[in-house]
Amino acid sequence: MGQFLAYGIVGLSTAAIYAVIGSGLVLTYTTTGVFNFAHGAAGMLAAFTYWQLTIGWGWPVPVALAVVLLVAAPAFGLGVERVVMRPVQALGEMERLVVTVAMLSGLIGVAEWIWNPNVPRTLPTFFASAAPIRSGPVTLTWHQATTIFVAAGVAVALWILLQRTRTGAEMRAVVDDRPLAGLTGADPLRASRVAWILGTQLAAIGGILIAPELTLDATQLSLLIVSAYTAAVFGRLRSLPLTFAGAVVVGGMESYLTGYLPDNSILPGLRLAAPALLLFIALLAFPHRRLRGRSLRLRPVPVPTAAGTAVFAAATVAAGVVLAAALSPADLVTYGGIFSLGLVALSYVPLTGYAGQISLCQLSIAGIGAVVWAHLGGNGQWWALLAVVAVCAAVGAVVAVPALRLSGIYLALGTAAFAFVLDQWIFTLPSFRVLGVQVSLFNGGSVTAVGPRLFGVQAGSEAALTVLAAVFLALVTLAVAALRRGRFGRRLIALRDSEAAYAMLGGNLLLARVAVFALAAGIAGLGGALYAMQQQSVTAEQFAFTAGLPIFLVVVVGGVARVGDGLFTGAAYVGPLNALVAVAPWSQNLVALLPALAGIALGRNPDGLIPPMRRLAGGAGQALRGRSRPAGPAVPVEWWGVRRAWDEDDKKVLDRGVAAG
Amino acid sequence: MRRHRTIAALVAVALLAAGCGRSGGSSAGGASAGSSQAPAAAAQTSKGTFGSLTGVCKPGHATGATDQGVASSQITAGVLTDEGFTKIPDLVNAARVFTSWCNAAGGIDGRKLAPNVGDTQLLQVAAAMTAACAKDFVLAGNSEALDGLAVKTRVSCLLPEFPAQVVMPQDINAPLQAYPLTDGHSYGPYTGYYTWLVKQQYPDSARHVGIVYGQSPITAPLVTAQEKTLTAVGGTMAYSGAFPATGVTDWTPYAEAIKSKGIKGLIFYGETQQLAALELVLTNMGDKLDWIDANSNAYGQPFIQLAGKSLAFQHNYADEGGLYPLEKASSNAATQQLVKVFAQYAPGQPVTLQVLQAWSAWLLFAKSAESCGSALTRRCVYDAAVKQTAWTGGGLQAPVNLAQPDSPPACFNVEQATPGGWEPAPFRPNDGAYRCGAPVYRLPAGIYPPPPTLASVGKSMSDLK
Repeated sequence: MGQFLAYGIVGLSTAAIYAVIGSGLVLTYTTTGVFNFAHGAAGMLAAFTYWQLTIGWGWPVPVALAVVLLVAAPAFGLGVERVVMRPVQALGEMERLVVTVAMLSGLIGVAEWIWNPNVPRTLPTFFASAAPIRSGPVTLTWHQATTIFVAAGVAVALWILLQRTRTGAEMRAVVDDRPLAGLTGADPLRASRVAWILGTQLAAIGGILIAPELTLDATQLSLLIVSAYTAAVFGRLRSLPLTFAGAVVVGGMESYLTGYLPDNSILPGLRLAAPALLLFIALLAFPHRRLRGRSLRLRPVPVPTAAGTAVFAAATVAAGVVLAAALSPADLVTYGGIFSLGLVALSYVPLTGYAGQISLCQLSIAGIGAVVWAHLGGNGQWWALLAVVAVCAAVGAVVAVPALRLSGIYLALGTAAFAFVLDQWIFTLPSFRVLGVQVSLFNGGSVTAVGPRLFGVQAGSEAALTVLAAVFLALVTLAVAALRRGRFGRRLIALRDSEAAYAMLGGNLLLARVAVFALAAGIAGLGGALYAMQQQSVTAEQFAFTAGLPIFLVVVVGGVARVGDGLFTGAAYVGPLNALVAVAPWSQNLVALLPALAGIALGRNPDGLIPPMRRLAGGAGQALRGRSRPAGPAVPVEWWGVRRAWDEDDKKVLDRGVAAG
Repeated sequence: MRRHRTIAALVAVALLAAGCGRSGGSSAGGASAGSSQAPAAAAQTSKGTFGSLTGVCKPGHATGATDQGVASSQITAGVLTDEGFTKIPDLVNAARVFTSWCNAAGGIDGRKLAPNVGDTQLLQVAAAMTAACAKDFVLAGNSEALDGLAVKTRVSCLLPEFPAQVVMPQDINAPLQAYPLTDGHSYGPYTGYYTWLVKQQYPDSARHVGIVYGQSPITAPLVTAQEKTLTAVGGTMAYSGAFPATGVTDWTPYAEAIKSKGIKGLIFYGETQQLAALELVLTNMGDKLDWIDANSNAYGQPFIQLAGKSLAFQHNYADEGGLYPLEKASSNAATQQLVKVFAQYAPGQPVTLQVLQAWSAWLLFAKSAESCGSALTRRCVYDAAVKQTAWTGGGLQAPVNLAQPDSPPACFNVEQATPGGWEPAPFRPNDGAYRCGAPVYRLPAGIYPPPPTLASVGKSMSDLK
């Protein structure tokens, strides 16, 4: 019993941290509609700043605390709101998500740039010299007690703020109905600002409280908060009391599982995956209110022309051939990823671009593809590629079924949870038997892959594999473009535009979702298998959730509804990062910030980078043909056909505008 | 025994920033070259002589482009590292300092050594290895956390390596590898060290040993091997706790489990800073363990700073696997010379355990290459290296038999972390600074994935010219 109590107290101290961090997440999400993936990173930055002030420059602790919590954190929150978030506020859920992912990646980069990661840094715990409180089997340090008190204090302070102050009332009004709150004289912008300031302050408190018990490490501090996400989802991203309750559930669960789960080879991973599993269950079990900010700006999904796509596909293959001919085998191992990772990126186009489903587990599914290929295609059997696509499609379908209840940010969190479960548990399993079949994933750490035998030829060399991947990318690009022009593609877009309307018009939601998830997973799996062939040997780390985030980032930056996004993402993700560092090693720190900067710039270019690039290419083409159309000032829509001649495209534009409402 | 492994899997969490790196926990900053004590007379040796090895580098008249990477005037040796990711410059420092020192003494029979640094960025091992295959004569003083991913590439192109460190089991005792530390693929690691811990120093702890490790497919076989070894030497595993490689928000549940299960000896397999955090919680709880195996990744000044007050309360040990302790450089001529050479060619750069390992590897390569004279080929240099039956790196380490790479650990030495720094533990040495004749434990088959063979890539020794 004493034991049980001890684990309970331990769980409470962990829960206190999750509660502080989770409440910050919830506060920002409800008021601004932004689920901030960079929340932990803000806390990390605060902890580093606090270290710099107290240890680095020797300031007294109260002064440093005041500076970090009352000056630096609010300033940072305001800056983020003004510079990063406001431009994307009006955009879709996906864009807002991507901007926070970009911020996360950028903040880690900045912190590692400023504070050399190889210099050991520690922060003293609070009241380090005071003797811990001991009572029977329970030991509680004053730092832990402080954490619990702070969490309680935060709960009370937030309650008072939200229930008893004008600002709080304004914030609640904005949560309930933003436009209405604006009409009644409240200032939604001010509410947003307050939410960002408070959210950042809560992150800072969390960061400063956990850093002394860990050590200062930019990545770890930024990524620790999956469990806090779970707490926030318990609060349905809305209710602070429920978030606190969720924190207690998660903290207690982690603590009791550590103490009582029996030792064997299967279970340790299960315990580590438990917060993610719980997140998944919480997502499914709790009813979610209508997502905020949905259907705000549905942008039309461009229809690629058959000729244009064919040219693009040919160019893709040509690029593959040129690379294969021009680069050394060593460079091909690196840059061949343009095409294989390009396939993984392309899987987002039908899934996210057409059907509007945000998935954060595409690279993890690519990992499954790699494993299946390594085990079934050990001698390059061509049919194993079909098996890869089939198995991955099946996995995608399995993910899609529970995901039927989820959409928007909840779906993103659900797929992230799936990726975490794969990372922490499935990929780490020793070999096991399922239905009489010996399944061995990354048993021993890595799997090796060889090129396939197609038409009697073994694609073994780096050059052959590069061309092969380019050909596959071109073929799948053609298929995805055909999909957009076909009936199924239009159905998917209808699904994205309004699920309710889609169902009412007789569409089968389950079927459409399962189909698109399976399709995307099949494409991603094929990409994973090709990537494994190029790398010759792969390990689970290459397909981790955190490795997948930058790809998602670049996909959205490229313009997720465009069929050219696969090649763009592959080239942008693999290309500059490696090429720039190779040419100018000093640029490494800067290059690490590139994806982040690109993501943050998304607010200025919500359609992604491909449309401006196409305009540029189109302009160049027209200039070559010598008949450039003069670009006059834009005529307002109501004057079309009056102040300028009616264009044949105008009707389409108007129809779309009416349909999008 | 000598598994000074970078905890590969645990580094990979930082992929998020796409190429942005951080510590892999392998930095074992020990003696700082800048602050070394006055050089002892023993270190005043003639050029090109290192410790007991004479004529490692000397002028000569070797000529001819006898193999890839060999020209009349220079030899290109590849140095693959994860520096771009981990930001740890140790291996590159070692390569620069060694080649400068060697070239100043006349090179290898007159040919200058040119290090060709290849950065794996952690994940792009295969690409870096393919590049090395196309250019380098051999690899020397290299170490990649994910080396198992490129071992097949290296063996296929018949590139011999003199690694500073071998990490993944797939790379242990791989073909064409001359590793100057014993690391038998078939044998349990740390048998001597664990025997000393649970049989001699802390017999009460034998039935109460726990292991806490970062969960990853790569660490899994290594963790299993350690558990089996500890059991084989008479210990009992009473607790096994995995933690997410991405980090832990609160170590208290782990500390509580260690305390409530009465664990007295703890093997930790993760990043140094994570161990420091766990120990802080244990110390705050007042749970004093008999011993903690911090492993040699913790050997160095960073851990001393990170662990802080825990050091006075807990007993942290690390098996150095027969490498002479750096803090005792003044009483060992070879170590002293290494510190001095570093101070001369790379002032201010720390001499760490990794530097020490890399140095031994470079010495082995240089000595072998030197014996080939003008007819310098991969075959000649590899054959010469594996003829060494008692390699000591001029006195940097306990003797190692390179002719039988798959042999049980021969000698070991244990270091202890104290608030004042690392120092030798009372591990009853019986052969100078080392203790030799550890019990032998053969690992059951199937724990370590086997390394590729020459035959498995369609090659044989006769292909190595």
